[in-house]
Amino acid sequence: MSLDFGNMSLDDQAPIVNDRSHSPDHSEEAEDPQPSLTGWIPERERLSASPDLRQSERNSNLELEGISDVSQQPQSETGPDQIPTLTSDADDADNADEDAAEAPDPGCQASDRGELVPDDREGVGMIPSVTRDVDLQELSDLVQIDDIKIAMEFVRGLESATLDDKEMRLDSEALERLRNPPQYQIEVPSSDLRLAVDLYLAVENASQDTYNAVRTAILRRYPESELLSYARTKNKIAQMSGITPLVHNMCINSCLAYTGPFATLETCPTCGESRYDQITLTNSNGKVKKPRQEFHSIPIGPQLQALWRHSDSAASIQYCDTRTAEIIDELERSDGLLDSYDDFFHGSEYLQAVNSGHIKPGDMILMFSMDGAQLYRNKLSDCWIGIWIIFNHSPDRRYKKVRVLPAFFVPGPNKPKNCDSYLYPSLHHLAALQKEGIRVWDASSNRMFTSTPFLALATADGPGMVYLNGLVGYHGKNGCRLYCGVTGRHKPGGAHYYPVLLKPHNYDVEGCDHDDIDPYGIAACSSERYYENLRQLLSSNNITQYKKRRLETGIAKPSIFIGLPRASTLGVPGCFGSDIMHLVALNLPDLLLSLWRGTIDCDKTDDRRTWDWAVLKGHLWKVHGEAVAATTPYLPGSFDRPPRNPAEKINSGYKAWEFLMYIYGLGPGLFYNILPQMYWENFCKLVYGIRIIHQHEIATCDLRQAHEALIGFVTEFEELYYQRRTDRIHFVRPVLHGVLHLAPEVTRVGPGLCASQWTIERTIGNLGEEIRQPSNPYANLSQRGLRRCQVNALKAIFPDLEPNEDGLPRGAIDIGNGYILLRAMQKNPKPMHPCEAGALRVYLQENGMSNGQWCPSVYRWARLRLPNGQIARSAWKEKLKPLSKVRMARNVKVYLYLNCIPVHLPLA
Amino acid sequence: MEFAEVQYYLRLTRENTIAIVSMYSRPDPILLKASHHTLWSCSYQGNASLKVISTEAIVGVVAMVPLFGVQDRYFVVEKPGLDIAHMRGDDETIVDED
Repeated sequence: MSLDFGNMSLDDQAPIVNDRSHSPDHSEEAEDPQPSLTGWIPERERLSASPDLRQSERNSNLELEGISDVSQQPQSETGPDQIPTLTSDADDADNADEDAAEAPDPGCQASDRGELVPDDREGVGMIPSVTRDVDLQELSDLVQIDDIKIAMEFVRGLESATLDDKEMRLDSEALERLRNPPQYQIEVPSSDLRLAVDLYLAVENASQDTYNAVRTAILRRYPESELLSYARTKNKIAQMSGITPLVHNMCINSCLAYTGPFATLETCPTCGESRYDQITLTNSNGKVKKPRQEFHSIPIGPQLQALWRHSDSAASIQYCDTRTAEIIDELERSDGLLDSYDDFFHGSEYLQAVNSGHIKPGDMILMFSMDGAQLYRNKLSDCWIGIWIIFNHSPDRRYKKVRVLPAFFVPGPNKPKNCDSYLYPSLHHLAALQKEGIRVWDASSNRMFTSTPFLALATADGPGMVYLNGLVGYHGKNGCRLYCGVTGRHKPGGAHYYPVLLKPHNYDVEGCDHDDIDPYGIAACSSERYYENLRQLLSSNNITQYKKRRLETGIAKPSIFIGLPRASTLGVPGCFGSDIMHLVALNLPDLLLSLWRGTIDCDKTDDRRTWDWAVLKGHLWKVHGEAVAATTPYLPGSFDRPPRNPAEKINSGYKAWEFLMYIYGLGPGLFYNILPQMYWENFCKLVYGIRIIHQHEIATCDLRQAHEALIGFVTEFEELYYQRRTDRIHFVRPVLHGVLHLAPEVTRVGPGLCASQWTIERTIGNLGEEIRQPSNPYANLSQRGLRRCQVNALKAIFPDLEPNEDGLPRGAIDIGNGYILLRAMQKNPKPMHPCEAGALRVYLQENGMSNGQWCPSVYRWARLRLPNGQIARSAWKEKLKPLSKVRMARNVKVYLYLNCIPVHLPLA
Repeated sequence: MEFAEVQYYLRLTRENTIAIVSMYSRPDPILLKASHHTLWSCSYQGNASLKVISTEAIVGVVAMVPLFGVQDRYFVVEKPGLDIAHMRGDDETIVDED
């Protein structure tokens, strides 16, 4: 039976299929797919192949005609097929070019893997997550290349992981708690301890000195109080939270961590630096082994248990179960069609995993996210941070600081050379939990059950992604981070591939001279194809063959994630999503502006004077920049930071948020009459699509239109700018391929915002703000991260430690349905303006009451808080201020059909 | 869908709070179409288009930005990805004002 989930066509979604034959016979799973709570899984056959399946098959065939046989091609030994070194750090425009990464590659070319891939088109439209088991032992046995052997050792380490593994073992108390959690709710601590904890939480961003100063003050007034010292409070919180770190040694130059196959080494195999402090070692005759550098991982198991420890927390963490049941209900009623996508749970991958019994009620659904950060600008201070996001929380709660859980911290100064070794402790712990299950005491129903953590997604920005997925990266021949199989084209003699759809005129570069690629025929990733190609790569006999196969398959090394139990993940490459933040907010603006400013590279055979789109130059760029900055007073405060003048600031840390507002908010208006009409119209299609895709809730009909518009944008872009010219292949950056995947990815894993890098960027930001000791920022960062985990766990155990978020400000009135009237309010009634009174009369008459010709005096109110959290202001107060002091928030969107609320009483 | 400038809010009764607004004109249809529905441009009409609406008809705050080079013409900007700030816990803070 063929399914069309992963397919690009959006005409009909067939999100759930009850076909047990796809279930893997993974041993861990076989025993117990018993849905313990509610019967989630509808037993009847739900869907047959939907109409657009035929379309997708047609497209596949079209693609196949364009295949060229690549098996005898000479391979380039340079450039794109090398494992990219990581240059991350996002958020700045400066990096936008490299980050073009996340843009995967379009293409329907099943193509040039002729020799490598048995032609298995059936796999393409299928759900990658459910696939037959892969024998990792057998894969390992194929390997001849040393670096790949090491990668496979990490994979095998995950495969055999248990909580008892010596190198990864928690202390005995923590391990005992993990297996036999206490089955009672903890009472709110005594008053002195409560005061200490409140104080500790309150000084979050301040220093230890602040805590002690306040403590001294309190003790002076209340000497009988037994208020704990900072250090003792800290220990008490660690103890109550039950969170302890896993600490491992690492190379002083950050090359690798001494884990897995490196665990017993005493010298870094990469840089030759010793693991232990040599002076201590010598002085103690080799007895005292003091590591020169360490890194911290914070195991997820105890943190997940904490989420169930209080009845309120446990009730809210069951959002996922409730929502899933609702969605399945909706699907049953609607014959498998969804009205809208508002969460990961709407994605076909998740629903398929539920349907096949891989996810049961009570399981924890996790997203892992990783990013590099520089602690100091302009200084060698790279560090890497991983986080967990728990999808079981409702979307309005899960991305908040108190629910985002740091996973690990890799100190700098350099970028890790072997990232697997740093991921290993976190993933090893996860793998062990996925096999053994987490024993959970659910305070809301006073029961014990076994919860299995499910790794839904693993994300990073483009440069970081190659660490996770082991693919070659965006400039490779198979550059798509979703591994869709489309191959790029490069210039004659060029090293970088670009995901060009249209075949250039007079172009015969071998391996790239396939016909035009149909953007509608691009399929999502296929697990089958990944493993077939991985097998080919692993069985390379020598380096030359390896490089050749790396180029052809687009795989540089096995992803460490293949070592996790298959039934507890969305699989590889299915668990690696897009990165909407970098793609939309950095890479696309960078591409468009470099064209419109005429700053993109111009080949010798090209001529900038013919670039009629390159208008943002000289005086006009300056004027345009001023126009952008001049919009500030018109942008409400709820719109966040207004974009600065790009003509002045674009190279000094122009933020993702600024680009978002500048390009997609203001763009259609600000570029009107500046860009030539056809380029402007093309750009507007992009804006239309992105405005839809970049929402938290996307209606299915809108999604379909967004997809049309985005495909229209990309194909027109090639015609308008690149014009099938070989010397303009570099205009078609990887990001354009990523655009083609945006809408179909929503059907696969839900709206992109659910899994975007915005969250980790934010986490890096707020952890960075907490760093107190510049002398050793890395150790301090780890300490802050551990503290964050402990505090977050504690807040789950005692929800009332969180300050009440619902407090209304003085004088405010809750007028119901989420609306709150806010001051200012007039102290004495003032007469209405006659024309205002006229409008009021019309309103009253429309609502069945007439009040003659009167003009009442009224109490005016200035502000209204809307259900979406925005505050709408009014002309009454705003017009009192000069324009330069205003962030105008008095303009509102109105649905007049909501305007028919009856008036019950006449005016007093 | 319409856009309006709020003059002020008023409690008619305990159950009924209204806003006195000035409605913007309907959008320029040619620009709207050419821009793939991304450029909604309209005119400010001041007291000539005052209307009373129920507060519950208000669904969001937008920006009305002057259209470059055209007198009294504005275009609408809705907050793209409102949810980003919302998701990361950065709801607009309410400041006391008198």
